[in-house]
Amino acid sequence: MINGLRVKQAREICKLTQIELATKLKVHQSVIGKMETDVREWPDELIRGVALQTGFPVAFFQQGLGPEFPLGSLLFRCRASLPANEKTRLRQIAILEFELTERLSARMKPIDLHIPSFNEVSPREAARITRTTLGLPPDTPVPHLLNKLERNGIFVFAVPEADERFDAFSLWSDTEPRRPVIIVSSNKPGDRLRMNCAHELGHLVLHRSPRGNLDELEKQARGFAAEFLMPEEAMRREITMPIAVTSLARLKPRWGVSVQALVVRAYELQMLTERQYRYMFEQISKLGWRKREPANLDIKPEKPRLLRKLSEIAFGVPPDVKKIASLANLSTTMIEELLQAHAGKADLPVSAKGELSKVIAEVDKATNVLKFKKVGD
Amino acid sequence: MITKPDEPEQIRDFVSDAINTVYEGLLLGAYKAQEYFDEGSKEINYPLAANIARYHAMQYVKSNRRVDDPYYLGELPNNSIEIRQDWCLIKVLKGRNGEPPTATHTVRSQEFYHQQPMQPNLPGINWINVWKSRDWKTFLQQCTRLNLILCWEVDYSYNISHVQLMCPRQSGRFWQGVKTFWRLPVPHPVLGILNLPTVDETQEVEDLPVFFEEHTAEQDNDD
Repeated sequence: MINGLRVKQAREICKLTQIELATKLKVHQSVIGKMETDVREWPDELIRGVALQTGFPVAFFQQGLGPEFPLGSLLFRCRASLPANEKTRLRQIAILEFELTERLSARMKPIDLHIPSFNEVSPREAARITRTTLGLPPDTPVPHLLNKLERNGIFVFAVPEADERFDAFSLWSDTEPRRPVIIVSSNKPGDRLRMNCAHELGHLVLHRSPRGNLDELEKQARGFAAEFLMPEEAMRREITMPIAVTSLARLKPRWGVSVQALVVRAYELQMLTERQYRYMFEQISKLGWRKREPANLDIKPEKPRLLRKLSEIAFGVPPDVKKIASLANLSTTMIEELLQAHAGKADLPVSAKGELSKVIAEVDKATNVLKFKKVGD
Repeated sequence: MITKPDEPEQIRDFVSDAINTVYEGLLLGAYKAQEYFDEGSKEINYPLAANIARYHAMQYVKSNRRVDDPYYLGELPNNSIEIRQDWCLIKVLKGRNGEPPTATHTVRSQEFYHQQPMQPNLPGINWINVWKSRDWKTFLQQCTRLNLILCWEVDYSYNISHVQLMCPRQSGRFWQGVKTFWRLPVPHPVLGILNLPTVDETQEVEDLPVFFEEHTAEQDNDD
């Protein structure tokens, strides 16, 4: 039996229209249309053709329905020019990643969910409460944001080779129990990635049942992200007068946000006049830093870990790609691509503090070191 | 003889703290000048704008100079900015079309451009010839102090467009232009911000607490 929705999923991931797939298979478009709506037997030759054209194994089309990410539940952070077929592709890849995670974690203890949910709370207040819930001090930078989110039960997935106009989207899954999910692009600079994640976290805690127009929801999520990553109190303390692009640039590495985000934040907090704000953006544009801020201030992008961690536990380090492919009914190439977008154990960042503790441990172990005695010991 | 770096780039690096602070100050000063003329909806008066920019740059450098910074700010009339750092004297001057202004008629100004007052008057050193020499290495071997010009330029809207560090050799009359041993562009001060610890380096990260159902965290630690 062939599940029509699986055919549709594979076709959408390949960004093919029904007509394009039909042309490749040398059949009429109505055949593809019918295939996608029914669950029934189809000639082997046709199925093999679909598998060949889409790169999915035949077993993929024979399995039951996966989770649904209803379109209405998706809050996309992307430029308006992102084509609809790319949005659909991203959604379908996210479904695959979610499904794979569910399968891999079937025998594992789930991570408890620790994120609040709000109805009538201002974004600023919501950000402050969320920081406390996640165990973060109220006025310090947020290190390892993706790790924090995943440790608190949010599924974060990266989409490999996403269109550069795409940033992130989020939703609450329709599975039982419902899971918050954030999908991010794997090719964004670290500061942008962190802002995207904080923005989507805002959607998850503020808009579990979204109401109001999209612009309003976006504005609230932006307000949440700004307060979450750059708390007002800390900004008032750290942004010194007179504000210059250079002084804000010095804050970028510490806070892990772009210079532009800091300029906007300073303006929102009325630390800059409108004229100063415009002048700073003129400067930034002139220097060509709107799209790409200077490389000396780069923040290393963090990768989500959960999907790969589950694979490592279930199938070893590095994970056995063939076994995962057989579990998920996907091709090994696709599994490799998905795992590549996620952090392996070796990719976990080693902090300066971590390096130092290693050195101290080495010194402690050393036998050829004279230890000084305190006077009076 | 004081040990000095040979290469102009090394000299630029040596005075980078000072010139970056001045550059930041000039960016602020240029903004203040724009603001002054914008608010009154007046056409930009360039000599006055330069004075406003210099004034604010000077204030910025004064307020941002840390006690342990290696440079000192000279107090000069008309908001002129002069910085001393070890064996360097840097004058901050507004240029045009990539060229610094020529020396004024004062002896002090002429001497600055000709690198003269910095030469030790010692027997055996014919310092008059030093500045005539076009060879930077020869000059550098004999000089003990170095005069530099930090030349800044603005565009039509009074945005800082170029900043250069120059080592003058001879002023010449204004139509001849200033002859220099070398001139180097000064990159935007933001590009000089290096090696600051990033947000993720401040804290260690722990792997996710994912285990098989029957497996506990304690067991994992024992492994």
